[in-house]
Amino acid sequence: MTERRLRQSYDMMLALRAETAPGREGCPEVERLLAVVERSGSEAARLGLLDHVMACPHCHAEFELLRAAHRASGQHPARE
Amino acid sequence: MTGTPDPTSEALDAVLKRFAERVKYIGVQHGLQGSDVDDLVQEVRLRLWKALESDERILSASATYIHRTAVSAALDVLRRRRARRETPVRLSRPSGLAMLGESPSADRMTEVVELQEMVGRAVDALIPARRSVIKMYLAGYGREEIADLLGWTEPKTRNLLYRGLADLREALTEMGIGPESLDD
Repeated sequence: MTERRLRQSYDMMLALRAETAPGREGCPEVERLLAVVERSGSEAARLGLLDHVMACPHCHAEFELLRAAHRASGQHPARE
Repeated sequence: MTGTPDPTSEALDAVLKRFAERVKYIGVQHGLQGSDVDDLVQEVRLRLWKALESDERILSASATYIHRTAVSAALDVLRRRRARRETPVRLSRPSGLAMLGESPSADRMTEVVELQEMVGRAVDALIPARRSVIKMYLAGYGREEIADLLGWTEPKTRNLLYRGLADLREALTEMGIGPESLDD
């Protein structure tokens, strides 16, 4: 299976899951999404949040808006 | 009807032009919708106008101030949407089924959906650090973006990504999904 096909399959799987997802009860607060964008909090916590964000189309859209606002206005922390 | 240009509006336009372009550039890479960008830019504009009022103050606003305003505006846009229980606009994702053919047969559809579910289960079974990296990668984030988001070095990111992909391929092979499965 090529990486392209892998991405397509995973993408479609997420779309199917999203259609049957029971609302947003398990989604993190927007402030926690911002913490990931700003790299605050523990690495384990950020990885856990990203794990959810990358599988949740609602949180992913919100995360991208925060990330775009953060990066577009020029504040960009240095890497470790 | 034309009138004298409003200096405050012109100052806001000047400050927000580059910001809006950058938001669009960054957002479009991962499917952010134009309406989301417009909402954010309008919110930032309103905040700068209310807080700074004059063209001189708007034009001399520091980068840090613009940054705080932009992030705070984005948070409020999202909080309001959640309060209204709006369904966020979905990120535009490619349609895997459409790419597999114009009119797949029922058997083919079943095979494709089963394959998708197995890929999902294989990703879910990865160890946490590799799973998050693989999910970002499959969502279209490049190595540099992943490294940037996690504050990792490029070698560390590359290592986790390659190990994660190797784990994923191993898990898929154990499920009977080899390199030949639904290949291009």
